[in-house]
Amino acid sequence: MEEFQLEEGERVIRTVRKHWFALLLSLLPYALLAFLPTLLISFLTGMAAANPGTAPLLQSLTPGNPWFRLFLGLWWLSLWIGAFTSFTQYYLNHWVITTLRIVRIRQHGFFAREVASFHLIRVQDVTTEVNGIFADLLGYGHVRVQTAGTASKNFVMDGIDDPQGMRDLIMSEIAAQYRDKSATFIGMHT
Amino acid sequence: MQEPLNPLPVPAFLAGANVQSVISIILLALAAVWLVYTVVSAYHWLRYGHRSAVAIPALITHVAVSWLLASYAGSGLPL
Repeated sequence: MEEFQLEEGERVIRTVRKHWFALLLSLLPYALLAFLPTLLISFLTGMAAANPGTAPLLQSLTPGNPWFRLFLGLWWLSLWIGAFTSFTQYYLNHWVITTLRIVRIRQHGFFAREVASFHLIRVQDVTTEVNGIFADLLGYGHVRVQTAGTASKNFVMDGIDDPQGMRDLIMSEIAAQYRDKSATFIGMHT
Repeated sequence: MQEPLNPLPVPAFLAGANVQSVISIILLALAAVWLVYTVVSAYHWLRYGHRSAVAIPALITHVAVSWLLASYAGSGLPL
């Protein structure tokens, strides 16, 4: 791992990203904007019907015109770059569940990353939330992890697939930690 | 009575400029921006992608789609 080093005996159990539907929603504006020039032409054609003087200009707004192709190609290229950036952010933002901790890796933009880790032994409460029809049908939601300490922090895994499964996984890992600690403690006193 | 519209005067520094060279410079600048973006993007994928199997195909797709769109944009230009 580039962002953090695994401790001795620690192993990665699962790497989690947001649900694919979240990616789809972030890409939707780019898909809609890609059709904007087509809508613009339809709009201008409607205007040309009222003003025949603009007909020659509109006749040039076709893919046969190299200048129009230049505009359209550059428009689509800029949208593609935006969409690819969204995908990059989606992929690089993730959570890593290890046998000892939860690591949150956030990519805020290029050259802006945040890595936070919470030890499982400090987890007090794990809550899941599934809100909305799409979340219910597609099975994604939030997992809220509350940690103990002087300043209790909420750690949210938002929009992940199978939040209940993730809660169960975290709880089982916490239970395993407590078992290990108890075994060590008993072993020290026998 | 309406007066005829006069075209806007061309700025002095553009008066002697060749349209084709201006377009070439603009396209070169855009290509440079794209190249910087692609290099930065590749750096992040390769460094923070955790040797994921997705990294290389994603970068190849980015370059291929960009190339297709740039070819479409540049097709037929009198350069």
